[in-house]
Amino acid sequence: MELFLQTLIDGALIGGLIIVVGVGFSLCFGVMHIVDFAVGEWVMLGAYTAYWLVRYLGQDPMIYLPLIFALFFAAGWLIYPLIYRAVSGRRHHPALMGLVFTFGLSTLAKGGALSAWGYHVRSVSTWLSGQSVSLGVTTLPALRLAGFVFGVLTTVLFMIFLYGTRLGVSIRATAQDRETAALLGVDVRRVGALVYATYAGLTGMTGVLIGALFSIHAAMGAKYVIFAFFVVVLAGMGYVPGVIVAGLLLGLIQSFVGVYISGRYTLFALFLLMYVSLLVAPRGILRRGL
Amino acid sequence: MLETQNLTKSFGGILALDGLSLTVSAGAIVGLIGPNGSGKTTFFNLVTGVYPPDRGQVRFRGRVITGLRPHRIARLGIGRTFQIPAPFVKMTVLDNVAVGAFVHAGTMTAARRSAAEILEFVGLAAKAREPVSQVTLEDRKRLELARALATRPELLLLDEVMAGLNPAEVRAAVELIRAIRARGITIVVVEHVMDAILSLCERIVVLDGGRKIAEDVPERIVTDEAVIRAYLGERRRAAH
Amino acid sequence: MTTPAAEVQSPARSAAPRLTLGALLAAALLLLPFTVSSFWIRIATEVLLWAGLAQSWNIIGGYTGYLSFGHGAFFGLGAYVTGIGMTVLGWPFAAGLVVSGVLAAALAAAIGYPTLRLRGAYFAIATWAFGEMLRQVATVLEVTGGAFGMRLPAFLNLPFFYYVTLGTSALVYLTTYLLLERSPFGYKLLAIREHEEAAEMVGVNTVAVKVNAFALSAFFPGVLGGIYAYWLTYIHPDSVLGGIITDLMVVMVFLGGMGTFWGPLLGAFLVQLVSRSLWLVWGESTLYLVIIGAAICVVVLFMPGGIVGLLEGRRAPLLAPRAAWRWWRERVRW
Repeated sequence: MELFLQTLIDGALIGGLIIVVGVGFSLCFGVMHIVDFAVGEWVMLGAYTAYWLVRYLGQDPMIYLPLIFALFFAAGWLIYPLIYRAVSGRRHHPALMGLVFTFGLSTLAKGGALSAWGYHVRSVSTWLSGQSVSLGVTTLPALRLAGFVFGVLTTVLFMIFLYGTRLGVSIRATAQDRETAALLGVDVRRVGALVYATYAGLTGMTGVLIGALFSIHAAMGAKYVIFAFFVVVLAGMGYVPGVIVAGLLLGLIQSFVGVYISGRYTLFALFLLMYVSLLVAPRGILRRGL
Repeated sequence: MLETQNLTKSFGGILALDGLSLTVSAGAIVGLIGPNGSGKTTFFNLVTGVYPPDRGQVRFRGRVITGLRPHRIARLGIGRTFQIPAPFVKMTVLDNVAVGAFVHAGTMTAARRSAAEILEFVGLAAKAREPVSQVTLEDRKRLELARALATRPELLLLDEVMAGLNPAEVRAAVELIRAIRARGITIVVVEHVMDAILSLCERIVVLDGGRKIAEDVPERIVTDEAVIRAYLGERRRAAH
Repeated sequence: MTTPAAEVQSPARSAAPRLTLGALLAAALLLLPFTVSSFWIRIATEVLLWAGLAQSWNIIGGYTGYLSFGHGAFFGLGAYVTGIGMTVLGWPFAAGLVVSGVLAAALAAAIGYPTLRLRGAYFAIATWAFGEMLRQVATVLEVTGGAFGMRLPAFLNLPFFYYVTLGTSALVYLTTYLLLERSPFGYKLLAIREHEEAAEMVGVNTVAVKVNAFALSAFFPGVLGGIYAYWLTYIHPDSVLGGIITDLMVVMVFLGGMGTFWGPLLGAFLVQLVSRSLWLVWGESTLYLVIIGAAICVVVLFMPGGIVGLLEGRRAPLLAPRAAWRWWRERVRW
């Protein structure tokens, strides 16, 4: 029972972090019809940025979160014109061009990181590392809890932004129907830039927590590409609330398969579910995707 | 030739077609008119098998074709053009038509020969080698016709082939459709250009809200009270 | 006035120079193992292998417009089937290759039937998930040796592998030429890529045509995977089912030109040239990833038709650094 509970909580905690990545990723698909293969590289670069900041400036990595958000927001804003070019114009299959373009970006970033920093595994520690919080029946590593709180908080703030502000409404309108939104006076391109930049910022920040929780290396991105794709496919591409359900599901599958069957089967289980889900419910398990 | 019974289709709770029964006899040229959203294109999509009807059936030459996939229906002899021309952009005009000819031609040479004849007939022979991206809207509409004809249909469904054309081009299109009909092909025309449809068709079916509200010869359709209220009046007012 | 018959004939080209060129190329390829060192035979075999793989991917990705991001699965399947066939079941190499190809095609047909209903990014993600799934299977199975991989009987004969690869890849190009460039099948694929609904409306059985194309594009990678396994004698999930296999196929075709006949060959040649040159200069390096990634980005942005598109090109691309810089500056909004 205790193992079960521990596994359940572990799963939920991981899920909380993945949701942050998934929400932005899903919006990117909704607004720009971009499937961003570079999602894992944003995580990796976020983790590395925290590592180098701590290395040269000291302090706890957590205090750099706002800075990293700003940096990655700017980076996303700067490369957005390229992505826009890839998915628009007279190109024949815009969505596929976007897919291949971000795939190129991801290869570039991964190759750059491997070339610059090699295969060494690095880690950062924060004052939370090694501490734990007792929750009656079970104890939790404080860092995991912090990651979960970060995930929930960011998601809630983002949801408030999406559902409560004018800008958020125009973003959602664009995600629902780009042409109509444009006719109603939404600057679709600006919305796209904003969404991509926000998504890059959020994903970079999440990278810091992932880096602190696990370890940092140049090839770490691949795993988060899988996670992000899984979450968005099951949520229904472009359907943001579904991401929360699917993110928790991902965390649970990961920890339950790992604990009760074998860690070797977790990826297999994820891919199988993703594949089957695409075939039987291409609009996601809640049937609300695009 | 074509007979539909009680054809019904709804999308997300909205009835697009509500129990439409319609008969098109062989060799006829029938016009299908009605305001936007009255179910004309849905009717074409149900006949050509794009999606199955909720209720009702479609018979073609006495055979029930409801539920067949579009390519099977095309091979049985129903050709169709798209409201917005849907050419294979990165191919030449000739090869676009050749794809239609694969229904009966087994080799590229045979398909291209048959396609070249059809291009000659619709007046596109001079542009056979041009890529589709280079041709004008009028020519794209002709290409739509040519590609549909290449499958050697017995029934041709024309979805607004005259929309966006200037008066001279409309006259040319009317002539072309008459010539197609003279080859013994039965035709159903959906059209907003009223002059053209009145001069072209022998019978006109008027749809409104997915229902048939009138079916008669053109002379009586233009004086029909219900039709004027639902459609003609509205358009005449809009025109003035 | 042109007669229909004149329209049907292809534009007049004199065939003699092309034939001579082809014969020279064929002779050069056939005589290559006698003239160069084993190092170059190995490089040439690799180029040929990748040229064949890239063209196979081009059948479904380029001609049909369905981007398979899991095509490495068929290569890996071929490698493992040949490996298991030769070591466990005692088959001869040739039998292993045939079975590999047939099984890869059968698997493609089986998964293609449901998967090809998905369009665009959905198809890409589904095939990616499927390919990765297969890798996980190879990692946990007993018969494949799990993550440690498996060993095939050693056969160290470079010219042999060169000729087998040359033959198979030549077959890929011949098949593509006859079936895709010169027969209705290829034009049906193009029609599906350009407008699937319209293709169906003029009588193209899109489901059957797509499944056939997918199976065809999986058959040759299956065979080439078998050759690769026997050539390397040692295979493991990352070496024959790794994501990089699919990635390279995609990159080569994009670089060379999607849906063009010579594009995959050019792309394979260039990518291999670059990665091998880098390898010669720096040794085992990850820098080729940077170059490949940058190349993909440039191709998508500035030359969507690939190299072949550029050669046939009508417009000058934004390749000049100053023009590109100005273009980018105008588009970043503050």
